[in-house]
Amino acid sequence: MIDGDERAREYLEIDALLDGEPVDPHVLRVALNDLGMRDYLIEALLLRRVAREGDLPRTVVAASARPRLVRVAGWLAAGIVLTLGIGAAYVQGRRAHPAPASVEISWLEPQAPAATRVIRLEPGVNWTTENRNR
Amino acid sequence: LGVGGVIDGRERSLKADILFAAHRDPVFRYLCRIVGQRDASDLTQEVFLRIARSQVPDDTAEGVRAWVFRIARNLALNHQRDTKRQPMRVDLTDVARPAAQETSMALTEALERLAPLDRDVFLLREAGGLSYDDVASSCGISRDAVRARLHRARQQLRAALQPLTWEG
Repeated sequence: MIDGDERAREYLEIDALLDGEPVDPHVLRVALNDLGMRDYLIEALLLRRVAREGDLPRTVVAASARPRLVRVAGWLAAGIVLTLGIGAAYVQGRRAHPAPASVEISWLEPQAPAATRVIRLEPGVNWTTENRNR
Repeated sequence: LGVGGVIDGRERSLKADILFAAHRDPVFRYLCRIVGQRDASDLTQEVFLRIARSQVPDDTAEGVRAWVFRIARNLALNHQRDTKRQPMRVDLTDVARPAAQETSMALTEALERLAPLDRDVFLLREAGGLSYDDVASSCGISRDAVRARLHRARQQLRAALQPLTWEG
């Protein structure tokens, strides 16, 4: 008569075999001699198949096998939208703010940003104390 | 944002891309069994968004996979808690394989009857493809507990699906 613990251990060895985990060859050999254990192994494999593939929707399968053409078309569409957007913005901008006659000159001369704060340096001021924030 | 920050950002983005390519399908399968197909799509995106914003752990491939699935599991649990839906809802669209569809639906119903942690362990192993150590890490339980719970889940599912044929 097979002990319950021994039987449980054999099941766990079948599980380990099934899951690619380390196995005890001796226990596994004994387990695989049992028809019930072999049935368990086969049914667990089929269970895995259902769990992994049984309900994968077609949309997902199609998405994972999506051809490069779809991605290229996506980028192309994005490029067209971007180009049209920039063009429309440019035309709108020119209408709202017509370019002055001296536009070439002003473009060629980048202007420094305006100063946001003027600090007057005075001799004898202790800058490490509360005067720092003046 | 300095040059270092830009490089960090790009490296993070690259790692997220690699993880997305490697784990998208298993993560989706796992989530699909828990929250259903429609929500699984959104949650899968959320998983990888979080990954993109996170620092990928400096670990082995298995360790990183366990980390990815820990995020997926937490999101799924939060989703279930927030929506208070039934834990299992799978939308089946494969009309060409009615036998497989029937089996899949039976599996879904049987999964609903499992203890939540047994179900998680089973799905992380079977739908996600995680090793015992990775499942243990993802669920915060010992390796021996994973083995015991996985076996119990398999036995219960096997018993529940016995009347069905396995063909298809």
